[in-house]
Amino acid sequence: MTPEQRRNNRRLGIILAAVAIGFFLMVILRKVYYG
Amino acid sequence: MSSTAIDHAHGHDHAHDDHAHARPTGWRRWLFATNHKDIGTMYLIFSFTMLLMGGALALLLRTELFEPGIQFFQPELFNQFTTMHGIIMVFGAIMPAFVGFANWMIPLQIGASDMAFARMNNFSFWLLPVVGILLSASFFVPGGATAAGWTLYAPLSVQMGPGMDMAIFALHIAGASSIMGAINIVVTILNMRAPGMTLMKMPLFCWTWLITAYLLIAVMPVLAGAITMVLTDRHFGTSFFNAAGGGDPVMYQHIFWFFGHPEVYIMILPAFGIVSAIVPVFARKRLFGYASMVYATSSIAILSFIVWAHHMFTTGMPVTGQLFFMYATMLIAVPTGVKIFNWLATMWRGSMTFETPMLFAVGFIFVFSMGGFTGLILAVAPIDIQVQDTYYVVAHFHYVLVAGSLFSLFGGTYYWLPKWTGVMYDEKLGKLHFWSSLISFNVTFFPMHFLGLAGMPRRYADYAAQFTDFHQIATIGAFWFGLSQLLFLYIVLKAFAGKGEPAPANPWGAEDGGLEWSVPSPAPFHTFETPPLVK
Repeated sequence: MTPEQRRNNRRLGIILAAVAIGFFLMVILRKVYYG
Repeated sequence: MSSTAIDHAHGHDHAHDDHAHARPTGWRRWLFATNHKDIGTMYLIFSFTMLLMGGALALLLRTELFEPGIQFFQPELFNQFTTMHGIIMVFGAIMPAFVGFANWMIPLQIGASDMAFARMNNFSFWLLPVVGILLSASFFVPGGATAAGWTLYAPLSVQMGPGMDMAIFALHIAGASSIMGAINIVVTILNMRAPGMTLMKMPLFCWTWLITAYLLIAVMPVLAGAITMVLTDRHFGTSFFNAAGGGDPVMYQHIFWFFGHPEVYIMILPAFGIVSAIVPVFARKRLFGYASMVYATSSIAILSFIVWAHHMFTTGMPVTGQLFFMYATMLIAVPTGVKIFNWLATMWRGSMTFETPMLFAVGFIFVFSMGGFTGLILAVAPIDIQVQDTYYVVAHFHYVLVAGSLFSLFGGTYYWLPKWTGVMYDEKLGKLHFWSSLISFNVTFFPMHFLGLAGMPRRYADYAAQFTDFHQIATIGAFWFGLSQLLFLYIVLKAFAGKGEPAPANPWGAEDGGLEWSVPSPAPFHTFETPPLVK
């Protein structure tokens, strides 16, 4: 794996993880703020 | 699909990972595994262990249901068995089994040297034994395991003992494992394909897994959110779902099924991928309608987000809501029908042979379609209201998850076993396993349609005497099905022990399969360190 490939992998992985964490927080915060 | 020219030269590139060249031995090989094949094998062993555990629970249920009245287990324990059977099968057996297949086959099919995040892959797997231990141990805490059903509906889930907390914790961990696995799969497929392996040249198994991984990333956090709120209701004084504090238990169902329905497709889309790999090879034809298969898979995934409330027709929904969810659900039959049509069209005038993988694939198409049809029947709101929570629903989802997901897993195992082990499995025993499984499966679950239509409710330890005959047939079938799987274990262990005819690199003569058939059998520890060129 080249360093560039590794960087690309890491970038995409972080984006996907952020999406997952965002969904998790959205489900709870929506209930907290809007009932 | 694609023809390939492969360079197997092991040029030493300093950019390579150190792990790619080390081959640890003994327990370190497994505990610190970063090789996708080893991790795939561990996933498959774990999932089969959980399958046996969930299966044992199912047999305990069927033992109690052999006769009306309470024979062996009090209803409280019976409900614990029911709940844990569901949770173990969904989160411990079926999902990890498909991740095992993904680990083994995706890098081999796309010409990648390994998964994108090899260490995270190790972590994803080693979270699972913790899940298994938590779920098993929950039977031994005060109050026993959770008995709220695999759906963990509030208010039951807000009320139960520490076994419920252990189940919630286990699901959090299983969810984290699934999300990490899904991220790994998306990144591997999008970033690590061999040069020339465009998305539309990928084997369909990779396509179905790519779409499944997106589904996992979208909905596993939703489940995590729902059960986190259950946890705070239980221990931190919130009232998200606790009606006594102003919460809404029905809201739990909405959130759960927003996860739960895509979850059904998470468990069936990779199965479609496996069947799409097997059928063309044994029909000796190209897969009919490759592009339409990709679009149908995507359509099913998108539609899965707008049908969740068909699980909740009896909760008091406006008629417009019922109509929306009814028609949206029926719409899923269109892309699913496209897939069935394409498999049949692939077989049409093909030079077919029926080795065990093909038997399981054809069995899948036939029996899964029956589960699909009962799904359509259940989509009709007025009918669903009549058979809600009856054995008709139990029959439906076992036709989808056993004859669907599990049969595809068996078919996929037989199909790729020569690549994994380097030897051919025992074909006679494989065929015996198929016929025994197919017949016993139908003996077990077909009568359940009649039980449900006659009004037998699910999750009951006792029943009225008129249901006895069908229950007894189902119990006999269940034990027969369970014993058949010991035969599968024997066949696989024999192959892993290296007993059998040596397998060539391409044992099925696949002309149009993935790159996996271009490497020797068994697949070497390291493959495609120099990416192959796909023309």
